[in-house]
Formats: sequence, structure tokens, C-alpha cells
Amino acid sequence: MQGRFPWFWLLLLVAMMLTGHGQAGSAEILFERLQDRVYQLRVIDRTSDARSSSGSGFLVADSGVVATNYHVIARMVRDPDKYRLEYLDADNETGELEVVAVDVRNDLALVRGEVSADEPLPLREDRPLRGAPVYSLGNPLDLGMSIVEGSYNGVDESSMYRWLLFSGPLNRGMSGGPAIDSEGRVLGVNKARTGQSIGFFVPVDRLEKMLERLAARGYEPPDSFDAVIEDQLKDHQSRFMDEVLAGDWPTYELGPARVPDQLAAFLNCSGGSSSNDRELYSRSQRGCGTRYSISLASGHDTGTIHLQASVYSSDGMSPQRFYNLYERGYGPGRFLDGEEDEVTEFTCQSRLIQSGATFWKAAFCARAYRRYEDLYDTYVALASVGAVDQGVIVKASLRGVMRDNAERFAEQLIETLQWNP
Amino acid sequence: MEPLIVEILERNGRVATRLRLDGKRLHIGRAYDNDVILDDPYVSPEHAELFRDDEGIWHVHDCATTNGTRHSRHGRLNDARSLVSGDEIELGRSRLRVIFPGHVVPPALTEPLPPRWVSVLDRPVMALMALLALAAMVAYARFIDSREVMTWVDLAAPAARVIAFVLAWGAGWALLGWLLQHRHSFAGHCSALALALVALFGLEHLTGYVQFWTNGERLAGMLPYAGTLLLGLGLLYASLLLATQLRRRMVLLLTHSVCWGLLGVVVLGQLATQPDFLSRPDYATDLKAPVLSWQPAQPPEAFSEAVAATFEELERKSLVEEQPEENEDDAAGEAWRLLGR
Repeated sequence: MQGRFPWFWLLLLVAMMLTGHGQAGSAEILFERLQDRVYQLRVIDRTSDARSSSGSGFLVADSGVVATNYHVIARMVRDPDKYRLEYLDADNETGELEVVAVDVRNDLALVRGEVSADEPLPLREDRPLRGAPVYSLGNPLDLGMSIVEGSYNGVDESSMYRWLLFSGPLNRGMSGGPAIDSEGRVLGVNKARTGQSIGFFVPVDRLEKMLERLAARGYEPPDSFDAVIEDQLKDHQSRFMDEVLAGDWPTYELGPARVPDQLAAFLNCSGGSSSNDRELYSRSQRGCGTRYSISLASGHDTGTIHLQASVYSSDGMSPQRFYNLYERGYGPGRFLDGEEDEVTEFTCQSRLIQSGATFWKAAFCARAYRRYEDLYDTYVALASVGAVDQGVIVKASLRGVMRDNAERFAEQLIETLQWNP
Repeated sequence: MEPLIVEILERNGRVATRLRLDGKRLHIGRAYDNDVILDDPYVSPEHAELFRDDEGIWHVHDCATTNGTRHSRHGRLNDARSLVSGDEIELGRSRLRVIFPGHVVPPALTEPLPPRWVSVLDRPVMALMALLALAAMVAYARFIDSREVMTWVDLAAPAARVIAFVLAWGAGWALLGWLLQHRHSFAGHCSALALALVALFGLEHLTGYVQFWTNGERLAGMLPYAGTLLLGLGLLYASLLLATQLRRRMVLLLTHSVCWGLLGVVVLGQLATQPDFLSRPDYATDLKAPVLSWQPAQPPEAFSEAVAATFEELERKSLVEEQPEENEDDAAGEAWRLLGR
């Protein structure tokens, strides 16, 4: 349709622009005013000179400091011998950039280079009202610098990162570009999109803190980014695990089991049950998890918690037959992919334990991060094996945590879990 | 008067033709009026003569032939020579053996019978029972593997398929046995395979329980390999004894080399296809119903110990991983330096 009648769509677009928003004019003015301080950033493979990834960035401080997302330049940070970083500005000028600061938790990075513009974009201290017009700048899909109009929709309270919500079409390649209000002040950094035109911005106050620290360091990069990232990950895990491990966990009644639920406010829980008339069993599930992860590199996500409980009930199956089905549910979960350069293989231990009148089969697995010391991905699987016709299986994974937190989590999990068939 | 037995021998010494001849005088040669007619171009039409003297002793003499006649004990014949039972005569390129009817033959060899457990397998009742057990087992395996209401047809179909396979297997071996030693032992081959399959199923279940009770000890992982090897050895041993005339030592050698060879191929294949890096956790996932009142369970503290043990093992592994790499680097560096000199 679109391929066959391009003129129709173009006319429609023009008609919409003519009759639509009266603020179309302000976007033009903003774009004109700001475009010389917004850049396309390119990570380039040194050997092949081919572009490996690209995103956007904008001038935030004197002496050529440009802000962007960590994920835009992650490859460069992790393998500086293999990649280099360059910018492309509005006049099609290019130049080299070096990374001077990263914040993996907030997906931010500061890079520095010889850029022609000298006036940084102003930052906005307060938050606009819900519905206020917001503009996002960036270079979507390598099609040239663009401005996108949308509206501000408050803070995403459902995750521990508290991103700003944007209703407007962000696209790949716009990551790291500025989100500005109608006066041209930056209120966030483009981060991600989801669903139909829902975008996320990193709030600008986190960028300000980074800038302060960088200024205190004299705008020099740290000795080792791995050490900086390791500290940030440790700090992050201790913050979210403290919240998870504070106090008793609320529980959820899932058939004859009481399973831990909503361990912390930043987890999202959902559940459901499935029973098929033809099948001789039913299963109900309840799961909680973080919605977002910290992406350290392609193939290495961290900073997540997932918990899933399933209760299986037999409807007239023999014990052998029921357990044949039940044990299939006890296999490893799916949210634990990883690559050999980043993590070791899992090491596991299993036990058959008796707690009161209940028998549990329990497995604990952990793998270490290769780049960052004392950080682990851990996994717990528990299955009740006391009853012949029903059982509960709980699986939990933590990514990017330290040993003491993982141990406390496993203990609290087995203490909280109850099974009263 | 006693007849004389003349055996015409093949080159390898086996008897090609055995003649029982009466008379006092027997003629040997290529011509058709001889008593023993030899189809050999080096034999003269009238080549040699066997005759009995008045005392009843047999003699041989050459009839002045082109190529002559040789006696096994006396060599080339110039005149008549006496014969004893078992003497051989060479005419042209043919060999004859002369035997008197009273010649003593050794007693019969005892036929090599398969061991008792193999003979028991060959009974039709045994085969029937083994096939029934196999059918029941396959139906049961299908049953416990299902989640829906099962009808008899659902369960009988896979059982029938497996039974058909066993019968085809038995028929194949039976054909071989029939060709090699006029004995098919169809029942024996069917019951051997059926019992091996039943045992394999039992072994799989047993392994599941052992894995569950021992929390996935490595030893439990070896159980299926060891069991399958034993079953394979037994099956092939019985099949070969039933179908061939090979000696037992030969059968044992063949059985062991085939089974260990197959095991080697399987293990090597698994090592080759094993991924270099496993990103998912690999733990004992067997769960078994508490059918026995006994469960080898530990107190809850054991789990905390397991958690700690996991981290300690991980630490040990990381130490092991780091150590040799450094050494290798050093060794490589040393080698380079030496080369540089």
C-alpha cells in the first residue's frame, strides 16, 4: 500500500502538518538553534574501518564534553584496542572522541573531543508538568539529524531506575540524544523505546552528578573503566539487594503453597493458571521480576531479579506419571544467557532436604564475572517432593550480585516458602 | 571279499569324491573304461593299476606313463609297491587316497552348545514372555509420558511398533543362523533383544532414582553407560552364539571389540559435540515421587552449606583457570627469548 501510493501518504502528511499542531513552528526553531551541538557518534572497528554501532550525543560542558548513552559506546569502553570513536556534526565534520566517564547503572557516558561548537546545551533542574511538549533530537537509523515531538508523561515508578516517560516515536540511533523542553533546556537523555511510541529518558540530574565528578577529576578519564564499572555494579547490587532483603517478604497464596511475592517495590509481578480439559493436571504460576537490565555489552545483561513459582496439581494421574511431568518443570529457566568472554560456566550443588514435614529438592548454581571481581549470577531451584499428586517449583535468579547477598537471598527464599498440601 | 575305498582329494586335502570299489584289479586313468576316471590332462588314459595279490595285499603299479606315479611313502614308482590304508598316490596333478574298510576313525566331536542361559533364551515360551514384558513396558513408558487420558489403542500402537522391530531383528539373525548352521533360533534372538530393551528401560528408571537420591553425583551419570555396555555385550554374545559356529573365545573377542568400539565412538562423539561453553545451569533435574517411605534427606542447613560450597568451588575453579595460563605465557615468553638469541 505504502509502496504503491507514496504520493497519497506524502499529501496526507503535508495536510496534517498544515492543519495540525500549532507548535510545528517551535520544533523548527529549536532544531535550527540546537542542531550544531547534537552529534552522531560512531564506534568504528580499527582494523576494518567499518562502523560497528552508532548513536547520538550532545554538548554538555565546555572543553568539548559530549553526553551519550553508555550502551552506544560500550564496545569502545570494553575493547579500546579494537574500536575507536568519532563524531559527525551538523556541518558533516568528523573528529575523534575519547571516553572520559561512564555510569552503567544509568546508561550514561561522557566523551570528549575537539568539537567546533562551544556553548553547551542548558540543563533543566526541575521536571515539567505531565503532558508538556518535549522534543527529542538524534540521528535515527542513520537517516540524518532529526527532531521528534512528543509529550512528557512523568516518571516510570515500576522500575528501580525511575526513567522519564516520553510519548513519541524514538528510533534506533537516537540513543544518547538530548530530550529538551520547548525552551531548549535538556531534561533527559534518550535511552530506549518500547511498545507503540513509548520512550524512556535518563533524567538529567544523573548527568549533572556525573559532570560534577568529572569536573572534580579535571576532565581526565579514570585509570581503568573496568574498575569503575565494577564499583558501580557493586554499589548498584548492594542498593537493590538491601531493599530486597529488608524485612520479611510478602507472600502470595498459590494453591497449597505460599510463595514469596513482590520482594521489592521495583519488581513487577504477574500470574496465571493453565488447565486444559484434555490434560490430567493443572498448573498455576506467579512470577515477579525486574523489567529492565543493565546491558554491559552485547550478550551480557546484569542487575536483574527474577522469581517464578509454579504449582502443579494432578487430576488422577499415577505418582510416576505425575512426577514424570513435574520434573520437566524443574529444568533451568531461560533468562540466564551469557557469553564465555563475560562469565564462567555455572557451578551447581543439589540437595534433598527435609524442612518440617516437607521434602524439598534444592539446587543452587552460581557463575562468576570474568571482568569484575566478586560479582556473580546466581540461580536457585526448589521443588517440593513430599506429595504424590501435587508440588510447587520455585526458581529464582539474581544477576550481578555479591556472595553475601546471594547467600542471604537463598536462605530467605527457603525460609519464606511454605507448602501445606 | 572286502571292497577298497578310493578318495579323490582336492588340492587342499579335502575329499572331493569317495569311491567304494569291488574287484581284484582296479584301473585308474583318463580313459572312460577305467574304474577310477580322472579328469586331469596330465594323467595318461591308462595310468596306474591297483591289484590284490593272493595273500590279499593291495599293490599299485604305474603303467609306463608320461608323467609317472608317486607314492606318498616310496616316491616315484618304478615297480609295484604294496599299499597300507591311508596311503596317498599322485598321478599327474591328481591325488588319491586308498583306505581299507577297517580303517579306524576317531570318535565324534561333541557339538559346541551355547551356554545354558543362551539356550534358555531360545525357548518359545521365553520369547513369548519377553515380548509380552517388552510390550507392557513400552505401553507403560508411553503412559507415564502422557498428560492426557489414554486409550488402549494409544498405548498399544507404540508397543506394536517395538514388537515389530524385535521380530524383524529376530528374523534377520535367524536368516543368518539358518545360512550358517541350519538352525534359525528365531525365538532366542527375539527374547534376547526384548529382554535387553526391558533391562535398558529399567536401567533408565534406576538412574533417575540414583540421580535424585545422590543429587547428581558424577558416578550416577556413568550408570547408563556401564549398564548399556553390559547389555550390549550380553545381547551380541547371545546372538553370535545362537547364529554362528564361531568358538566362544572368538565370540567373546568379537563382542568386546564391537561393544567397546561403539562405546568409544559414542563417547568421542559426545565430547566432540559438547559445546565449549554452557550458558545455562547444569544441575540434577530428576524429581521422583516419594514411593518409598525412605528419603535420604538432610536438614535445611544443608542447603546453606551447598550455597557456600558452590562459591568455594567457583573460587577454586577460577584459581585453577588462572594458574596454567600464566605459566603458559611464561613458557611461551621463555621460548621466544631463546629463539631470539
